[in-house]
Amino acid sequence: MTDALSLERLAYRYPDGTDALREVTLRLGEGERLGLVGPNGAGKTTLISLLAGLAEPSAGEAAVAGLPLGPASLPEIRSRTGFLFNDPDDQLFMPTVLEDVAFAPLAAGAPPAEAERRALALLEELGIARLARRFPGHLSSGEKRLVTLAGALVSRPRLLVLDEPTAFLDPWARRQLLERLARLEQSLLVITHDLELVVELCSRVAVLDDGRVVADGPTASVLGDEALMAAHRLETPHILKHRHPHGG
Amino acid sequence: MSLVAARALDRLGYADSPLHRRDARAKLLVCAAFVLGVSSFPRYELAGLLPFFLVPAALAAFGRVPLRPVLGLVLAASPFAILVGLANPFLDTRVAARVAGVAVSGGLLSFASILLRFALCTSTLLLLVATTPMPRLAAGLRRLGSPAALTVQVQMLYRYLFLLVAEGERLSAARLLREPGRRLPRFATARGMLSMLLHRTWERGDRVHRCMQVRGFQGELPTLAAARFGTADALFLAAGVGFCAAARVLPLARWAGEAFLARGA
Repeated sequence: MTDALSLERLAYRYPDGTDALREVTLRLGEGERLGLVGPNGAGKTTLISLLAGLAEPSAGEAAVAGLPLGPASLPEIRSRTGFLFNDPDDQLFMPTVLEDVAFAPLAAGAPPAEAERRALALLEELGIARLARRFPGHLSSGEKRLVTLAGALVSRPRLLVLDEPTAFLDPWARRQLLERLARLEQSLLVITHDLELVVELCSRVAVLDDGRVVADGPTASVLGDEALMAAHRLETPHILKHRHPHGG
Repeated sequence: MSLVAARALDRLGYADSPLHRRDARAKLLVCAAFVLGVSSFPRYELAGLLPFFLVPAALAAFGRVPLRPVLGLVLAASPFAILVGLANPFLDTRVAARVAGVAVSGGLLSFASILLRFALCTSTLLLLVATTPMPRLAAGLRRLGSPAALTVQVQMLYRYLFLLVAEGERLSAARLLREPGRRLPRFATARGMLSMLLHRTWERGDRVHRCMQVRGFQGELPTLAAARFGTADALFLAAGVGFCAAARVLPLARWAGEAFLARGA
């Protein structure tokens, strides 16, 4: 089976000569959930820009569901990948929640009735159908995040790339989002500083620092390695520190 | 005040009323007929313009639009109209009419006419925005044959204005917190804030555009609103255009005045 995401020696150099990514090699299996963590400036945001086709790699290759990333394949890649960016306000640009969620199928040429049906079904599934006619600017942070998730899922992507999905959320909204993400069948690439989220959601985690993948393995063993965490300006999540010896 | 009013009008566009439910094309065509009718009068015309005030009054009533934000924006934009006509009373001094024995110059009449036309057209266009969300207006323009590039530019500009306002409010709040005693910023501070505002809105606009690209934006903002032009839309269009034509061609103001006087006698 093809990987949902495959990065082979991917590199990116800024015009001023700074290396943001250096030979990043990563694989994400179908249905797998991978956390990508690292300190500020590690290259996480650059990686998202490359995956979204908003910047071109300086070297290396990337493929989504077996389709190599390049200008010609970009529309297809974008329809196979859902992105959740850091600030939901940047992502919500249509006048109502329903129109925002329906945007991608409409832009892809779906008839309005079909786009509306799909958007409504997804809002229902995520438990936010009551927001359909609301103006996105008036929603709470948690609601906005769920609406952006619906907007990303409506194209039925095989891969979801989440950039700080729990930013701006209160504990209750964070829990709501986590529960919904845990139910998804798609492959997830979760790029975050919220290490507790990674522990709860991802079976595997990779640590990115100074543009390189410095660790990649099962979540508990990577994030539980206090020396590794400290060496890369990270902290072992409390949830791992305080796990009861008999599995509590 | 005007920015708050503009945001209030934008939000009103998503309300529901008999006017909100009309197809955007019908509303656009009625507005076009209105602007055409108002602007086609001779430059000294005043009485002939008065019946046209019934149009914004009817739009506000059927659209359930509060007049306060509309009037606020008309007032905010009025300096432009005043500037346009300000020289007229000085340049055109010949007597064009006598009101109760007092001579009125042609310049004064044309200045008053400009102000009336401005108030009529601005309030009607604001009411159009207050009863039709911008994406529906853009879709209506597209269906009427406007080029896609133009309608997308209008929508982007509209969106950018609101980003500008939002970033401006953040900057202003940040300054007030650190300069609580000063209502207005110092010149140097204002200069810095302005450059920061442009920089931040540029970056924010860029982020929004990137999000749009990722979700499949290809130069058009599609809308769910179906292109249904029903009987009610046709009736609204006929009534609107018919009234504008009648108000332009027939002396409605004089008839109303004569009827009023006859009733009084």
